[in-house]
Amino acid sequence: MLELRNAKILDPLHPMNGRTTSLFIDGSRISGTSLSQIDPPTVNRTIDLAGALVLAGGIDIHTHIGGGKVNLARMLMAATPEDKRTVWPTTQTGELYNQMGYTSCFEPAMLLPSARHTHLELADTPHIDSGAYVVLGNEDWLLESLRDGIEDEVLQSLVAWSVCASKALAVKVVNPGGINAFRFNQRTLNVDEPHVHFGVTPRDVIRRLTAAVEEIGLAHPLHVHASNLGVPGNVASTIATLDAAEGRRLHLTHAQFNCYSDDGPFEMGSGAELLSEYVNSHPNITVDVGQVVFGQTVTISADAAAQFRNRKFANPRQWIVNDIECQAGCGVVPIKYRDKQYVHSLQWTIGLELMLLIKDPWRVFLTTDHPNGGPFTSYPHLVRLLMDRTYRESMLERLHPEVQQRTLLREISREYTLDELAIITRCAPAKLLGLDDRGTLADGAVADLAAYHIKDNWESTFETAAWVFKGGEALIRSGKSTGATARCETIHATPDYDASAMSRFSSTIEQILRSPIDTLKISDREMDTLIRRPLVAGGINGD
Amino acid sequence: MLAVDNCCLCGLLCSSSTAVGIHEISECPRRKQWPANLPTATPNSPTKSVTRLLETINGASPLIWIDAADVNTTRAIVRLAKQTGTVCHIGQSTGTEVVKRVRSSGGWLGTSLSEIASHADLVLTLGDTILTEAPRIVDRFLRSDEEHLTEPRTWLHISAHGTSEEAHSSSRNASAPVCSERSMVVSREQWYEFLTKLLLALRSGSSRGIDDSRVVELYDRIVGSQYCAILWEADQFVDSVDELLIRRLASIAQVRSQDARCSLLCFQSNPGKVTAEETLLWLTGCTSTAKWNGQTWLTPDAYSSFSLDDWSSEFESIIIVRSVASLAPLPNINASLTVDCIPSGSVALLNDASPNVGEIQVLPSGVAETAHLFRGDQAVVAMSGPAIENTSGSGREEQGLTAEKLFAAALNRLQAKSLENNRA
Repeated sequence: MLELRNAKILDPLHPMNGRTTSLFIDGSRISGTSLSQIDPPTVNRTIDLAGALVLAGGIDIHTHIGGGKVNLARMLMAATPEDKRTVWPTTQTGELYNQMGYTSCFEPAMLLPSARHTHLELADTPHIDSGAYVVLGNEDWLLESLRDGIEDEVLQSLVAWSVCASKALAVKVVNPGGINAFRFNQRTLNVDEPHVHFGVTPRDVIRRLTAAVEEIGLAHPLHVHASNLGVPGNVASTIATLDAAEGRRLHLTHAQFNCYSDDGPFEMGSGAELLSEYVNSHPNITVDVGQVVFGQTVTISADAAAQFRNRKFANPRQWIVNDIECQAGCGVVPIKYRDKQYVHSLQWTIGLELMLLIKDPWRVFLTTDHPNGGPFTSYPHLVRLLMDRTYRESMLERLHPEVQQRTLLREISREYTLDELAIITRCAPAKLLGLDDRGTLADGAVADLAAYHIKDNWESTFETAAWVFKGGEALIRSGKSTGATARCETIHATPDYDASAMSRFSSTIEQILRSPIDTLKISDREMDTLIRRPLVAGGINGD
Repeated sequence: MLAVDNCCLCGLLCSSSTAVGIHEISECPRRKQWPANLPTATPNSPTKSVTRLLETINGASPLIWIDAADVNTTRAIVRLAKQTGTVCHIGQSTGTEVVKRVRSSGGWLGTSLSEIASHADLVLTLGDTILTEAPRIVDRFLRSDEEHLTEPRTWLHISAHGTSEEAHSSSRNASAPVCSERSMVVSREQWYEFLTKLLLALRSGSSRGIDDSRVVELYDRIVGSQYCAILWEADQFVDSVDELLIRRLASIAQVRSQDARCSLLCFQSNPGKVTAEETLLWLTGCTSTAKWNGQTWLTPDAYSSFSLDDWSSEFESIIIVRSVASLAPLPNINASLTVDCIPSGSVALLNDASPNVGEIQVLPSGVAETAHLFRGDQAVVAMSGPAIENTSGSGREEQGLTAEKLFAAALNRLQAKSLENNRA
């Protein structure tokens, strides 16, 4: 057993939160915080953390780190100087996350036909546990079924089967119906607008899928990339999207990109106040922000329609937009966010406004939608912006003058506390994903934890962890990699489904894909012998 | 027991577990070229094979040339290359390089095979290579008599051969060579002019003044379509002039996409190369050539423009690896060692092995597979093997080595030796 002495606990779920004590790690689990709870002779190793802040390992609930479109981005940006890249090889991705004290990360856009590719890349990303969300909501067969009035139970089986076949943890919908409509040359699809071919609206898709996800017992609500991403004035359709859940749980992802009013210069302003009020008054809604960070990055999205719109902003001027297998799309468009550019400045302020105006830290999550808003390596910088009002206001001086004038940030005095930081980056993501044994330092939790020495400012503090443990194995010691490897797992959900209901779709799917439906199923054996990543089940309510 | 048996001799990865299309997989002309019964190879001694491999790696300026490989073989190669500082290179076809350059330097609108099958109302296939390299593509994806089409479809095939006189004469009497609704012939030398006229017509919104009836016809069909898909095989367009053609196609897709949908698909007929490239890219961040410099993976600038001859002269110890079954001959680059999944001399397709070239025979992956990774724009499903599961129960796996095991064993030996040296 390992004793971590003089650990200053930062975990609102822990009885010793805020106090300096010992933590004990027994194998891969945390095992109590006081000598009275354990048998002292079993402690055979001690590390003195010298009062460092100790948190559970960070959990990134939405980060594009593995799969076909991520690899496309690597290809497209291969000529970018290394210090300006925001998409890295898999090994480097794991190392960079680990350095910051993150130990679990989740790929939010896994397509059914390329699920293997996603899992292979996640398997080759060391030091972090992972999982992925399967993208549904634009398949020809799904939209056809919704049009034809598919029964709830049958839809539930289709959704559950898709989760099981792809070894996913959750379900995501991207621009519901809109990516599919783009194939029929329908360039926009508003929430109550019918698909030109299938006649189904995005509202229909959201309503049916939120219900299905809830019924099959997935812990994570339907993860929604809303319609009209990036379009001025889209906050109205975003709120309509949230209404479409009819009170059921829904997670709105990278909310900043769907939070624009239509007033202001270039007919674009901040919708953060409106959206925050909605979220604050609707406890069924959770949100991750998708904060923009100034500098070069590349946007990667399954929303081919939106990326086609965005191609004219490509910087450098290269981009790829694909239709994929009658199920989804992908678009890769590099972008350079500039602090002096009105829209980019506005986006930067909106993300922070959302983080600061949404009151419940259990329902708002810090992300950059990596790499779309910026690289995940900027999280420490964003933490400083949230926790240090003076610093935040000093950053406003960099922005476009119109944005400086109009932003609410000057009026917001809120500074995130350490407890709130722990919640938005650890406790709350774990809870929302149904990972009861993570995101906390409580007895019995997985021994994923990070220790930070407090430095001059919060950015420096959280930039590099002094110690990182993954499953009880020290991966970072005194801020440097130990060279050790830890067992990392893919977490997936296994909802039940009715195989006979699913058989109704088999021949349709095979006709559309021109391949046996079995090619979409990843077996446990395949995960073990070919993809080579241990699986662990989770993400189901009541598990 | 295998869940699915996917043939990997072209990028369609047809499954033999279900007859897809009119013909059984066994009727495919490419499949028929693959030896039905591989000769029982004299098993390589794994120990000697590893020794031979390490001798080559430790030779002067080593290079691992990956001709075609599955994911796990590529993973093993990259691990060994990192340990030894050996350069890895995926032997790409020139056609693939041309498309990569175009795709990385402008905009690219892509699509995938089942999109073409279900959504495209106009399919243009360019050149005959697509039909010979993927013989079942017509049955599986291009026939317009399938009930699940969302729109009625026209397939127009444009052959590229011969002189301009032959092409013109041929067009007058055009008949559908392989069940396309319509076909035309454009000679090699006319392609650039042909596509330029088409692009100008699309940009101006009119074909008035165009004196080539083929261009006018094509223009009319494109503007009458809602989803036009343009499909060709990578090695149809291979040289620097062809790069201009690809750029024209990219521009045509972009111009047309302002009003309706138009997308491109460059079909890769070698899934083993696609697999190796994808794997190398996510592991190293390098697109086809990677070297570990002690801190990071990089592509040395000089190698970016290397020709086949340049590789031969730059490196003295070259190992060619092919762990995925392929009908293409191995490249002639003065290899010191080949790691191949077909015994030399057993199939006439292979180059004659030099007596000085070592060869390690490995079990092929891809003939029978349980898994594939997929990237839609490549129109290829590629392997996550090897997965030689004994469907026949023959115990064949025990009779030979896999490429992955070979490279993994080499790495283990190096690491064990290094540990020993450290202790000493």
